[in-house]
Amino acid sequence: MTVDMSQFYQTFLEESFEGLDTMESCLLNLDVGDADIEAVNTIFRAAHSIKGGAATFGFDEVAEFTHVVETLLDQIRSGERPVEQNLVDYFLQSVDCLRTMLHAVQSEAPVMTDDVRALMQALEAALGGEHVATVESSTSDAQTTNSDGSGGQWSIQFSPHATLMKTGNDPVRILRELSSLGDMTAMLDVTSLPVLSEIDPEVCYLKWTIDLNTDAAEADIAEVFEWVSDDCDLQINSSMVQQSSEQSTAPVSHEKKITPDAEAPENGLDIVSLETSFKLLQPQANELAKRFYETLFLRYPQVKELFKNTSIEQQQGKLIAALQTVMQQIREPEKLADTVFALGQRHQNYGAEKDHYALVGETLIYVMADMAGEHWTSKIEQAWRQALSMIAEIMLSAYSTKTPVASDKVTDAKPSGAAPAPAKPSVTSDKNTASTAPKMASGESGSIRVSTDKIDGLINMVGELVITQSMLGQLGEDMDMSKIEKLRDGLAQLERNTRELQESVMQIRMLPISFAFQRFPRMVRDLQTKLGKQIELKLSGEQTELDKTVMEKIGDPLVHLVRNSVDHGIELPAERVKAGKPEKGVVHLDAYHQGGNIVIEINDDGAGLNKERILEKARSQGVVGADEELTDERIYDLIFQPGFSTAAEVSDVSGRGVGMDVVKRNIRELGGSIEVSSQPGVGSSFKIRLPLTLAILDGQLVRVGNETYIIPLVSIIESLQVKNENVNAIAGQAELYKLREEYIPIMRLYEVFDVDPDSEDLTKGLLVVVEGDGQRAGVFVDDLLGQQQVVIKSLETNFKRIEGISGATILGDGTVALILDVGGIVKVSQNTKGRPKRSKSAVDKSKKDLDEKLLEISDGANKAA
Amino acid sequence: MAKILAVDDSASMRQMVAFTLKGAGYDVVEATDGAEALEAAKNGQVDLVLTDINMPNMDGIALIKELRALPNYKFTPILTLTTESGSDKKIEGKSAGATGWIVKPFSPDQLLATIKKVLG
Amino acid sequence: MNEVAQQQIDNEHELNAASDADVDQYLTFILADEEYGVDILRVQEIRGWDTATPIPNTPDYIRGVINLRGTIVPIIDLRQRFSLDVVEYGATTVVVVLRVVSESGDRIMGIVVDAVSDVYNVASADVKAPPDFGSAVSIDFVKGLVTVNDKMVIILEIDRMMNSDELATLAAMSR
Repeated sequence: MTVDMSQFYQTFLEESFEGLDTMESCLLNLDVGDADIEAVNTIFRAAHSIKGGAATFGFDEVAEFTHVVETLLDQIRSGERPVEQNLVDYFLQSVDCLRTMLHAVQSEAPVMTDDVRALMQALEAALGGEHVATVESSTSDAQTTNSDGSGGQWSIQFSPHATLMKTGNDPVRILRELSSLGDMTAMLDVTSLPVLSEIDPEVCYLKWTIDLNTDAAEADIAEVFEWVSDDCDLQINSSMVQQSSEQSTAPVSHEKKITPDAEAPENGLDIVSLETSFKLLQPQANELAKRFYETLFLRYPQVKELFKNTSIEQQQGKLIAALQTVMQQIREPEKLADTVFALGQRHQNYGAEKDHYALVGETLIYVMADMAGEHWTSKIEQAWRQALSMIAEIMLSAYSTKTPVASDKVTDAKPSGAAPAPAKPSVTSDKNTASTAPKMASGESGSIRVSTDKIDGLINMVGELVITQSMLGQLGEDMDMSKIEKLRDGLAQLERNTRELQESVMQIRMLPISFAFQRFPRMVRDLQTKLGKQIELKLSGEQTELDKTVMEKIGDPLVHLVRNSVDHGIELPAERVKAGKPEKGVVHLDAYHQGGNIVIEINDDGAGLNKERILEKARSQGVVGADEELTDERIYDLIFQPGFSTAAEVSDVSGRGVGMDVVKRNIRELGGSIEVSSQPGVGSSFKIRLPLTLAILDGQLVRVGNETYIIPLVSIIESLQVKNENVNAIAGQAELYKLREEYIPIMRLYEVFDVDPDSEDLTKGLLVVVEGDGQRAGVFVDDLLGQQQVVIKSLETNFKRIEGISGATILGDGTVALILDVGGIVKVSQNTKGRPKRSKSAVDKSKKDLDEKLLEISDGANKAA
Repeated sequence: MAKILAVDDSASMRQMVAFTLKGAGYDVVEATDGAEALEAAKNGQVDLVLTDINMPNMDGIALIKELRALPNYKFTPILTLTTESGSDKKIEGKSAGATGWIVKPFSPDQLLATIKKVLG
Repeated sequence: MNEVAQQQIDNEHELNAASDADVDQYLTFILADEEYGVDILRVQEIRGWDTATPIPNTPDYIRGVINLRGTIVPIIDLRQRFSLDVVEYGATTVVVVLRVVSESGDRIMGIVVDAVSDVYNVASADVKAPPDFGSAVSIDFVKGLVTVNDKMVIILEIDRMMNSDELATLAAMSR
């Protein structure tokens, strides 16, 4: 049986990276001198698994390297060696080294570099020069074959101990195995058998004398008894030496067969028939592809749905490319299997089902047979049938190994890189071939591990949903007014089921934030050494869960912020002492849930932000007017301006060209916000607020004229009725509303969005006070409708981003409602200050431009006519 | 077809073992550690247990002892998956009641050959 | 490797040669008494006009977005796009939902037209390059002209038409 090992690589890499993360965090927590044995065990186990996997899947260099690490760890584990700081450093370096090696494996780059070798030598030296047995590469052959020609007649005395059967071993199995080596005669000795009434069925009372005539070596015979060598008395004597040294007890070969012989092809494929017939048809490949799809759709209209997102020309190109790839690789089954496997994964994304493969296969054979005409023989047909069914099998095997959960699959399903010109399918097929090559996902992995508990929960809930549905169905069959109460109950139940189901589905994507936090201990440790600072990193709330996608995207901004705190926040020990603070600074990362959000705080007890310098810089850049007075809050907020860095010198640590503006933008793209507060000499605090998930939000439905918009509930502070005396018009243009002690700009949504409102009179509608990016504004709407959770749909998929709108959703009645981007809207309102009609006039202008353009066109047409 | 319980904390090894065994027609139950395996073994009789030694929660040795203490697993073949460096692990597993061992790394073919040997 | 490349070049030749003989199918529709055609393979579906949710701060010809089985699809009024007289939508007014290929991937968009007309088989050889006159539509958006049953049909270049001006994707605009 051929098992394509490459299908397990991705899992191996994923779990190895996880293992390395575990090793790293345990190592960082390890107390030198007084190591927690459980932690050492965990580290050892991770290394052990990586080694085992690497050896099994043929990544010998990784296995070899890990073996040295493991050996050292084993000595610590068994107490032979104390935990010393230099060892911990070595292990941390090894973790980095292994990460690099695994990345190299992933990208198929050379794994064994000089760095690796150097570190390995250092580790071996640490082992005290003692010889480290290198791992046997690939597979260890226990079955050594007889090469010294000592085959022949053997006499074996096999006397199992009474306890042999207690380990699940069975003398019968051993005899059976022995008999497979050659001609065997076994004589049973029942002398120890007690009388029936005294027999203990768990005890072995029997002995055997065995004559074996075999070409196998003594080692092979002994190996049969390997597992029971301690549970029996065994004598193996050669009773006659045979001279036939060239024996042929088929040695089990574990080498991968790369190139199958054309005469005796691998997998039993009739490659010659396949190749000849393909050559015959190749000149007509285009026609073949075309007719294939015609026939397919004609015969099986149900599959047409699968191709709805793609053009048939492209598909034809893909089909030809796929066939060519298959034919090119048909003599390299390993490679072919990889290719086909990858293809299968993509097909799964397109929604192809098991049954479809048979339809496709049948159609392809039919079309080929038709086109080949008299050249089509039953032999060829047989060959193709076999090949296609093998391909389908491999492709289908790709299905089971992927968890079709992550929503990024949806985007995968779209044909990417589609060539616009249908006349050039070679472009498409080219790309197609390239992307069919087995690729180990790099960076963000598309899969997610889900505990079986969560899945079971889901299944239960679906069960309930089905029950509710059938209950409602029955109710509907003969409905009358007396059942209205029941119907209401049923609907309430349905609502509950749906909500629970939705929550559980969302729950699947939730991961503890420790995944994002775990890189920081190491980072801070490295940084403090580099900067000569002393820093304690505190982590709390690591179990707080958030959406996988949000997690992946928040990683980099967090790194930036932590780096910033360490580099610019915490002072050097001497400075700290002078300021009356402990030498050791503290950076605290905290995560917690608040409302529908997750809040991540990064606090430090450093010097705090330098208000004067920020203001100075802002003035010199013209961001702030020379005599403009700002609140502290506004000043600190300036650090999020593009191109704003107050670090006197660009340091190696923070000065990486990415500013706080990028951090802020990234966070905003996630629908979140960031605030900063600081106190000179006491420290700074960054507070990031993120939605728990990107897919769903709690929305307030508002109405302006005939339009319904959705405002994210999290950004609404309050809604109020406007009192005229609180409205202040500045220069008769911008309007401010006095909300307690604060003035907030009023934004008339009908004006910004250019729709007809019920009324332009502020007292007739409502003011929704929102906050975005730390700024408040009052959004004037006609009415508040209900609140509901909405599923966010992207406008960009088929259209594009619109300023002030973050997306759309589908309401209960099937119509589309737009979701306001509060941050963007607030910005619009700020810009409107003094120039209230700006956004509208901008639209007018773009309209005018377009009208002019179109006028030119029709002018030209008129002239020509 | 015989039912095999495959126990390993490494997902890739588990996948490989399960894929290989399923491909050969065996029913496979998977478990990620000893505790989970014990639970699975109690829930439904299996014909052979294939277990890693080094695992969190309950390791392979403890699992073997627990299994052997169950009346319906007294004689069920249990094979350990050990690395060549852990020769003492073979013995440890054996004395805990393991039937035999398969040395890591192994190929799918070696795995199947050993399983066939045991199950007949 | 060379062989592969060669093979692909060969293929391209064949395909080009073959496509000359190709017959394409076009769905045609009426807009201000003129007949326009679009590649039928790009047509996803034809549906009656139903109100769309307007998108603020976009040109008038973008009527808004509709919910097409869970995806948000923008709807373009083709009369307005071509600066033709605006008429009331009537019983024959339909939305032709098209797959548009753009730099950032395929997009699904709908166009509002006066009525659908017919489906024609047109040999690609019969499509004449558009002369620089005679149509209300910018020549950029016309792939060619073809005469069917003594009527002129304007074959539209939908990808260009639906990816220009305000319809351009951000990716294309930032370039």
